[in-house]
Amino acid sequence: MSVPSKDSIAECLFSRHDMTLVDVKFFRGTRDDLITGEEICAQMKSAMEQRAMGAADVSHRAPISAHAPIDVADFLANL
Amino acid sequence: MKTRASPGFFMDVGMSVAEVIRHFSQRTDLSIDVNDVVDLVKAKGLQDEIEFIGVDYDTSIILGNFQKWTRRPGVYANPIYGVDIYFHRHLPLDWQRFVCCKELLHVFDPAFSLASTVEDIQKLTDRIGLPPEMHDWVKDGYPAMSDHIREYEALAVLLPMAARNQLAEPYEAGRVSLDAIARLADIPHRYVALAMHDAWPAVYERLMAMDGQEGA
Repeated sequence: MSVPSKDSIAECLFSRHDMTLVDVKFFRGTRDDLITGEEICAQMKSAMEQRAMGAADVSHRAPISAHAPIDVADFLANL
Repeated sequence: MKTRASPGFFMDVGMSVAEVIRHFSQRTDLSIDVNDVVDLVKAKGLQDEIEFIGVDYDTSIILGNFQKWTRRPGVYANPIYGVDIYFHRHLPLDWQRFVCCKELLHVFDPAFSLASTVEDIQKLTDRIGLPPEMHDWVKDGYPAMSDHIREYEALAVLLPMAARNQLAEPYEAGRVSLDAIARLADIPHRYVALAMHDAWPAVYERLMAMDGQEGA
């Protein structure tokens, strides 16, 4: 099994000297075959670089739905 | 090599994931706003600053990433905690919402499922990178197991049981489709299919039975 090197993880997550990492988790991608740890770490590193370069969309709020809330009863009544 | 951060940081969440699920369980107005979950968690005492970060990922590899950090601004200052939730910004909105909700629920990760050292992260990436059919609940370890369980819990939050139950009979009668329910709940079709399956209530009960093992 291919695991990410200690150096690649350290470069990615432990180079922020003012910060201590508490926890990391991932949402696996869509590929059905093996995804290597190196590939996962490369994506994580890329995302952190995008943020550092100001190329990411940063918000205190989560993405919101494009449609207004509908009560299930109203939805079913209009079938 | 960094040492493991204190798991005590997670004691500031004064509730469990099961309580979050229970809080939303009677809602029948869809979709559930992920920000309602953020507000609930903060109202219960989470001190962390949470940021949602839309980036460009190769979605065949990962769709989202949760990172929790702490820093101490001064020798005698209280530590500051931060949660970064990364997601692929070009995903459809239903996927963006689902990924962010799942990652947000990691604020409840108990001490035994934290991945905070190089060795933890090596093992975690090694296990979650396996093809889905090779996942092994015993060998995966708690951090990888947490990654899977939070998906089910996010589903339980975003399609509350009261709403699901109202939809069950029309769905089984063929009067409403999975696609229509997915649009109503604004979550991915594949998860709606799971929630509307006959087995979902039993899975849901198992998630609720984990109460107390998640937030402690």
